[in-house]
Amino acid sequence: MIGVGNVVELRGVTKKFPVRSAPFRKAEPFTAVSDATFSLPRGKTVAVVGESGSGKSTTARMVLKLEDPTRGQVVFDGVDLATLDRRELFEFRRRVQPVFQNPYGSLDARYTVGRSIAEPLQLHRIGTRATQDARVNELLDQVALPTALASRLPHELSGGQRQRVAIARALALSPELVVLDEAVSALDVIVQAQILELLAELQAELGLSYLFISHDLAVVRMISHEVHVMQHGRIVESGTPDTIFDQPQQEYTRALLAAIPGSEIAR
Amino acid sequence: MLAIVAVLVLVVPFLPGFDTDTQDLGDNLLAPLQNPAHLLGTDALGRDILSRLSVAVRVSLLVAFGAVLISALVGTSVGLTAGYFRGRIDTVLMSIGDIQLAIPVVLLLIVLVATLGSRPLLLVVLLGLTDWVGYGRVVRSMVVSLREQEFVQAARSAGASGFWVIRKHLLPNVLSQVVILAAFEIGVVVTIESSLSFIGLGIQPPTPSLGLMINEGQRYLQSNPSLVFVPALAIFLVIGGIQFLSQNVGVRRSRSTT
Amino acid sequence: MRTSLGLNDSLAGQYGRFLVDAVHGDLGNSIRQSTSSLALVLQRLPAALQLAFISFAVGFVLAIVLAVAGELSTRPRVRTAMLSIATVRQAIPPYLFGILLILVFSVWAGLLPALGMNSALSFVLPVATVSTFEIALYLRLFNASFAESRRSDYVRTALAKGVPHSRVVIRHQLPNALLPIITVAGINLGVLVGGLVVIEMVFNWPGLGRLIIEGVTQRDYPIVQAGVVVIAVVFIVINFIVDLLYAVLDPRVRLA
Ligand SMILES: Nc1ncnc2c1ncn2[C@@H]1O[C@H](COP(=O)(O)OP(=O)(O)O)[C@@H](O)[C@H]1O
Ligand SMILES: [Mg+2]
Repeated sequence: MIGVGNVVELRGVTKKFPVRSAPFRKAEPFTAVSDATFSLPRGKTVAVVGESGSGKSTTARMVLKLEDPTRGQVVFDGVDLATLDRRELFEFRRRVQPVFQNPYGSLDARYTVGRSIAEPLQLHRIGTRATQDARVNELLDQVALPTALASRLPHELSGGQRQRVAIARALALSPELVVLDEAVSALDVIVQAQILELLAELQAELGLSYLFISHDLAVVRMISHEVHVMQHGRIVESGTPDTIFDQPQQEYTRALLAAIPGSEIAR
Repeated sequence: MLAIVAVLVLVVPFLPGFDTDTQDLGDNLLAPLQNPAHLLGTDALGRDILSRLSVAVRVSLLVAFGAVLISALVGTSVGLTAGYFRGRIDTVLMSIGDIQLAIPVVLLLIVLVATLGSRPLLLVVLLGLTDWVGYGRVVRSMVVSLREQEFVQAARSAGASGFWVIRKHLLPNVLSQVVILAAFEIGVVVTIESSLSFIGLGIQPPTPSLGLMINEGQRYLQSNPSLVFVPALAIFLVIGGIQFLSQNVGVRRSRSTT
Repeated sequence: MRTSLGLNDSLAGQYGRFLVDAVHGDLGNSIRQSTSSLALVLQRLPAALQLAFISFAVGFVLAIVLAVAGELSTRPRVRTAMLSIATVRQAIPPYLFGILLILVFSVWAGLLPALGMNSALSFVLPVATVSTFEIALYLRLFNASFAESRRSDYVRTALAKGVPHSRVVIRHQLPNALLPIITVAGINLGVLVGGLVVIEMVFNWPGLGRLIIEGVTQRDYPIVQAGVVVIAVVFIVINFIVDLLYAVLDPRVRLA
């Protein structure tokens, strides 16, 4: 048995997508994730890295229950997600929140920052208008944004600011697990470092667990406690960031390492 | 162009001598600008054309607005449902739309009116129900891409139901496009309604209608071409004005969003 | 009388028998003329098809010619002007345009016959009415496609390599525009055959649409049914032909 201290466990998780094909030809489903097994200890950061198209986002979407596995189980806090009824699913949605890659698509262009952050509170009927507003200010403060931003629209913000807003929104329901799918990948290096630092602070402060998805091993090294390398939907190598960096076992992992800017010079 | 239409619809009914129905067989087939009591002349039954024109345009616009309201409502609901839920319901709804697009609208309406009648309210409903496919397709294609956007995924992850996502995120984001389309469709519906009235299956006399005025005037094409010209010009002003307006709205919209 | 028409049966029974008969090619007798309604309808089909096909062909070809000319013109004004005229034309309902043509060319100038289908000249006004509408429609579509391909890499590359502009337009931009527009055109042509109802009324054209309206106003429903069925069949046939055409034109589609 895997330890009780795990927020999330994936057990042999496989996801196949039906493929549209020419008529009269038999459609072979496409396997995006294949037999993935790993666990995420509470309060830790586990990273999944891999090239584009390797199945990372599909994995994240299954952990968020935006997608159901074809085979295998995603177990959250000891409970198989497939067994949740409506009420339990709604409760699950309070405890797990996403932050996505695209800072431009992650906020409804018609919603003010404050309204976007407050939406999860409204969905779960938490507090009154006044307490919600107060909570929005508190959250903005937590992600180091001025509270004056609450009345702004997304197009008035920079990419880094938007990503902070997305994080604030994800924190609104005080979740236990945050799934970060390429959450810093669209940002430039300096802003990336600031957001990673913020994430680390929030983790220490709130005891959050992170599932951190990225194609960039350099970023992964800065934040994660454990790394799983994914290729063609399979986990091909696992370990601590240091073992992955210092003794990569797979050709594929070495290729990912080599793709880090400046890695040649460092060697 | 729309200013002239507005004057026609809003001011003319308050002019002295406004009268759509009184027949004056001694003063019939009067040319325009001959008699100050009948500025645009009189028809074969001696009824005042300016008054009838005013009411006819008003009726056309009312019918068109009503029909467009219905079709926009139906089409937008269909598009939201099909685009968000995809799967079988999407296939079914869009197939219905494809089939409907393949049937000539006027022919369909002729058959419907023939079996169901042409009471004004029914006409509005029928026109509305035969014109939803355009909205359905546009809204569906927008929703198909919107639903994959991360703010929709984030809302779902926060526990939003399909209904919440549709009402709070998708509908507001497609609304401006629907309004642009609706503005354009008013002209289309005016055309269809006047075509139906022209062949006697739309607005029924004694209510004046543009199509019927043209049909009646056709017989006097040689002697009194103004009987056709005047309502023809009115139709052109209405449809052209709306087209012009909707194109400008469209252009301004696309400028302000980019 | 009621018994011979089967009106005493339930509605479902009547409809069921209609379907069975229809499959056997029997769409019932006309109530007024007590001949086979299908025969009456088929009698009118050639006139309807001729008007639709000729108008469509004239409109489609002229739209291509105008769009290519506009694309080749060095003055962008030319394109704008053509599109404005198209907009104006589209703001006039077809039946109204027809009446105005009759007024000018038959009543005033006395040049062309206005009503009926008696000689080749009878075609001029109805075809002009319908095809101008088609021109406006397809001119828009071609223009939009050209406007897009104009900025594409393959056009820029070809022009930069010194390929003559006319050759780029005719050999590259036009074929690229044709494929998607033909799909639209196939549906439109099918709709056109049944959609000319009102135009047929204006020009007293002995086509299908007019027969159907007469059927409606005289409550001769077997005629209406037969007309609708025939139009549906024509629509299906046209779309089938367009699909074949598409397979021939598009190198990517191969018939299995
Ligand atoms: N809804 C879907 N339907 C079909 N194929 C999909 C779907 N979602 C993802 N895929 C495919 O699955 C593979 C993995 O995608 P994804 O998980 O997004 O990869 P990554 O996030 O690692 O770039 C890709 O080849 C993608 O095309
Ligand atoms: Mg991804």
